[in-house]
Amino acid sequence: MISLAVLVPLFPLLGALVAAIGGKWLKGLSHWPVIVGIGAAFFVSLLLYNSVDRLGDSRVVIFNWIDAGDLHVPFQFRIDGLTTMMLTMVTFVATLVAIFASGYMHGDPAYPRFFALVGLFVFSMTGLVLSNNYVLTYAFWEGVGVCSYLLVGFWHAKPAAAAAAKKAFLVNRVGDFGFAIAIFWMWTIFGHSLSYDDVLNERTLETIPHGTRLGIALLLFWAATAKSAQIPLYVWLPDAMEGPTPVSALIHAATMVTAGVYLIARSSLLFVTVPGAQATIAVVGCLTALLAALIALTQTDLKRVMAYSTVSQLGYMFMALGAGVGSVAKFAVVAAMFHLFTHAFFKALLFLASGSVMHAMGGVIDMRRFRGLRHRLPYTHLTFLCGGLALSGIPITAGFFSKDEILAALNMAAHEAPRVGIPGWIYGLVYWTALFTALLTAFYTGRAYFWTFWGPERLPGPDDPEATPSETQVQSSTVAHHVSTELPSADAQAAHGISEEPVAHADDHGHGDHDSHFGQESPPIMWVPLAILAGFALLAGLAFGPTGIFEKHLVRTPGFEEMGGHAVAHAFDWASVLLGSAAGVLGLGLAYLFYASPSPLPARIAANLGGLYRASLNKFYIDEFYDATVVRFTWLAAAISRAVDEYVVHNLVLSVAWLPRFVGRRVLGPLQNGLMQYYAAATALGVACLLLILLLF
Amino acid sequence: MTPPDALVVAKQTLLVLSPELLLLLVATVMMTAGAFVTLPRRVWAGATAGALVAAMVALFMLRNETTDPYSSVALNDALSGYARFAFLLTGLILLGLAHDQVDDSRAAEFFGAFLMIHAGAMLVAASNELVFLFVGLELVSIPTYLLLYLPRRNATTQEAATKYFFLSIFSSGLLLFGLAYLYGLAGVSNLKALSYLIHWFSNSLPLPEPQLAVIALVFVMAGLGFRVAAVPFHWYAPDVYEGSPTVMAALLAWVPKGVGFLALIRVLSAVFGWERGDLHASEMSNLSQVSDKAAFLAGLIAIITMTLGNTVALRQDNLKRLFAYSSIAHAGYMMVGLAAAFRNSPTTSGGFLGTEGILLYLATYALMTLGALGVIIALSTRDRPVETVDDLSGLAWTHPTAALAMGLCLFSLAGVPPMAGFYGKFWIFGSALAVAKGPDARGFQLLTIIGVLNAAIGAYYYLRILMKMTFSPAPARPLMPRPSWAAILAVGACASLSLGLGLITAPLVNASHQAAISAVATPEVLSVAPAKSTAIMRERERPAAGAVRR
Repeated sequence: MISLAVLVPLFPLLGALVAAIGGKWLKGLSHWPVIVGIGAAFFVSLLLYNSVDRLGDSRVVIFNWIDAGDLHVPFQFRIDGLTTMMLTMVTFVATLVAIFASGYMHGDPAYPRFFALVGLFVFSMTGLVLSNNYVLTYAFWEGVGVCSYLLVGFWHAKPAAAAAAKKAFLVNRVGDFGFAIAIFWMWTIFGHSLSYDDVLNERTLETIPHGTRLGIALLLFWAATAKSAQIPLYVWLPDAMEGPTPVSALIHAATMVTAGVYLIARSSLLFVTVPGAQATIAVVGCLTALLAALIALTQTDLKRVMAYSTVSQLGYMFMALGAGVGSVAKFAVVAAMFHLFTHAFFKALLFLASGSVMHAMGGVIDMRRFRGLRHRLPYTHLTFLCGGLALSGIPITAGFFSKDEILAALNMAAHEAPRVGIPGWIYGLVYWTALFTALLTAFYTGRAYFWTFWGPERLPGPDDPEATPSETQVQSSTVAHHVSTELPSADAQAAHGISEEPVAHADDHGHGDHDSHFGQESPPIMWVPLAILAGFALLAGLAFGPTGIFEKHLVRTPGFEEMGGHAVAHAFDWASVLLGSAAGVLGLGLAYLFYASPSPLPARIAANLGGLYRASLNKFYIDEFYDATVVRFTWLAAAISRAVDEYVVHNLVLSVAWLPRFVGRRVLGPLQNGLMQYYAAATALGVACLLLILLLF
Repeated sequence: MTPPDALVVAKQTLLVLSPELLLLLVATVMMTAGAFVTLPRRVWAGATAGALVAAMVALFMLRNETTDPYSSVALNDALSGYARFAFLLTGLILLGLAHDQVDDSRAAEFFGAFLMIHAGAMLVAASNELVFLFVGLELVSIPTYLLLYLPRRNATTQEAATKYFFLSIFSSGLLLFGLAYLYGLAGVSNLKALSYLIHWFSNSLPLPEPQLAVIALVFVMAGLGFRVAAVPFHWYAPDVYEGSPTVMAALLAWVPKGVGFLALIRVLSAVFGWERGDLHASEMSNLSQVSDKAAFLAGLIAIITMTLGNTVALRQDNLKRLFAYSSIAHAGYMMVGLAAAFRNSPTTSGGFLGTEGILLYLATYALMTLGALGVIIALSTRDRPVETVDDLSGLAWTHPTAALAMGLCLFSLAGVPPMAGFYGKFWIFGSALAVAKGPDARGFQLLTIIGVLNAAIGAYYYLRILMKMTFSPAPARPLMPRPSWAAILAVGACASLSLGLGLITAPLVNASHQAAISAVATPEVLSVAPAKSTAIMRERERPAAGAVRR
């Protein structure tokens, strides 16, 4: 039973291999091996999930991976509550995304490559959560990074996509650096073992000095900030939506950004012992959530709104993780993972629904170019609505339960924190900021929803600069990336109150035959996954949260049950529930007021808050700031290094290489003169010399 | 030794030598019959292949036979089995390359001589006695003169054959002189007995006398250095390789080198090996002094051999000359292993790393060199020979399969992981570092550093060929290869083994490890026959007698 675990990564990998190798012959059928592979992995995950509930956690060594000197790293998988929860969620969402993608990517010239990469992506992510030691986790962590690079840059002929892929990869490398240092450090202090069983062990942890634990915890958090898009390394995620929309759904919901949250949750036994790190995580998560929500308020690109929303929601997860001080520890981890779980459904849903909108709009995703699509795209509209409600945290939707748990955890942490030496007001501040962010979340969600689906209907014209020209049948990968600086219609311009718009990104997707379904609802292969996800977005919270199923399963992770000493009874936090729901309803209501029909209000507010508005629209100039500091500095260092290489090292190498050549050509070569008598004499002389040397010394 | 004992020993010896006897028998029949009948060359080649395979079967069936190490002239130990099997296998590979390189009229003599060379090589591998070893060496050399001359009779071939003949005779003289001194050390010509005396009685007997031993060392090294093409005895190699047919270059690049290093192990490193901390031979003993000098000598020759081979190879455009210098350079790497092998002693339970490294390197060297030269042979025709590096231009596009095989062999020669050649270098240099202890640690470390630098220089000219093959346009006169299936099989085997033995190293490493242990060991006395033990006892008592005599 347990040895089945190896099948979870294996099936997607096999699917990916079949799609990659057989893609030439499978062509338009290349999605089958991958969908079947991920689907099979999902069923195995369910079996494992069930086995954990019945039999508890276990380990399985697949083979001995590294055995060098003091470093012993088995290729070992662990099956426990946390792992199986992640596995089930990842494979489930990925299956639906892959099915959706088979419709969305239809006709793309690199169709097999896309599915091969998706299979590989799921392989890496499942391996990451299955691994039982930090080294193996790191290997798959890198695998996830590589796959995201390849998928974000899937349309690599498009400069924006190539740049986004590069940015995603480089920013992630910054985080990986922290992870690597953490691993080296752990290896030296945890008796040369990097197994979770040895490191995450209360007895072992007690023997480690507090400062060391704090350092390792912060380094791990550093790693997590890159993968899970937190301040200061969140900048890659919004750009990553340059990839095909199913990839965005995969990255934002299931496979990539959850890795950082998972890493912290997995190491929570370590983090619980260092309240300072926990407070840092909570504060960073809180700031990220607020900042991303503020940026999302003004973005006009539907997918970009969703991308910032992901950053913001990840901030919530980190706030929850950070709330794990003292006796709140267990509850906090459960809250964080529960939000990760529900978020996966509704964020995948929102992204796929956005993709469906984009599909119908012929590749246009700028909200200023279309409106009132609710009649044209009924399924998309309804499913998007479900996702939006869940994201806003409207009662009984999935997001409501998970967000409530996070708020409750923060509230408890505010009381608990002083006992472990952290001022309680920090968590109080985080709590109120989180509530405010919930209001913002509901508002920008409502804004995106109402703007897209309500109001008078408008479609992007065929001469829209961002639409793929259909008559020329341009292949997706060679479509030039258009940028537009002028708005197509006057009222949209009025809605924004400024004439100069930032560069808007268009996302082209793989269709040569737009006209056939322009402005029409997507085919069932695309909306059925949406409907399934919508069901989960509405009901997963109710089904798993109040019933305690999720918590009972998750605590079947070694150490989680006893984490934080005595477990506090989890009382239903009515205040948070009411405040959170109120924030959600208020936000949606405001959005309705502003955007349900064309209204002058947004423009007026924008004009009044000129500076703040522009800052939000320009993403608080964070990218520009990084560009001016980190990137410039790196370029400078690169230029200097290059000069050194070109003029110093190169010549040095040349002169070193010159020496053997000179010796061969001028000194030793001429000795070979072709005369036998000379050879014999030289041999005899050689014998004599050697004899002399040996006898004398 | 009493007559019944002698009979037992002779029987044992003849039995374990039956593969060689079989080859010699077939060779003799072929050369005799060749004078009277004219048969197409494929008959002779087939008979040769049959003889090699039969010898291989015989070798396999005799794998558990042993001889008494202190009285028999031949051993059937792990080293003997390893090396003889290697010679038979490479014999088949060489046959695959050589079978269509000679005219029908001279085929019988050609293949007869070919078999004799391999019989001689196997005799050297099995030899346990100075005279017997010398006979084996000459059985390699003399048919080689014939082979150099047989396939093609023109002025350059004649010049090459003449050069090889005279210089080889000269080196045999040097070797014989050295062997005589070696015999004079203890008055025994049995190598295991000599090693036994020197190692186990070093503190009680003044053996080996340093001045005499050094003369033996230098002359044996010179004589065998010629065969392995070590500097300064290498002079013939570039001229002879260039002047003779490519298949002969392949044979010369491998068989004499293998034979030479096996002889060096049997005669020098197993006899004079000494390890620090040896209780039977202290730091101040004669053995330690001689061993230090021997290691120094091997290291010195290694340094100049590697450096000359690699640097001069840089400027070669002729492929055969290039591979001649390449083979000199590889002799240098193996000399590093020999220097380390002088730190393997039977009286301590220390490592056998140097010896092991040489044996492993020899196997990989055979495969990659025969493979690379085999590609050249397979691509050449009489009308359009492949002579220079430029002839291989654009090969990756015109003949991709041949280029792949060549590429694998070249990468292996350059020592790029995970090719077999990498592991050869790895073991050689690793062994030199492993024995770097005590006062001469710096010397071994320096030797290793120079070796690694040379490997880096060496990579250049191998990769240059690769670059020509991939990035240059095809030559104006296109190659018209018509390779036979046997040649394709031979080259394919070399290329795939060059990769395969690098990926799966365990079999070769284990085999060379066992062989190295048996090469160094001075085994316990075997009780072959009841009368045997007394004979051995007498053998053991001989040192005292020898000492008195001296």
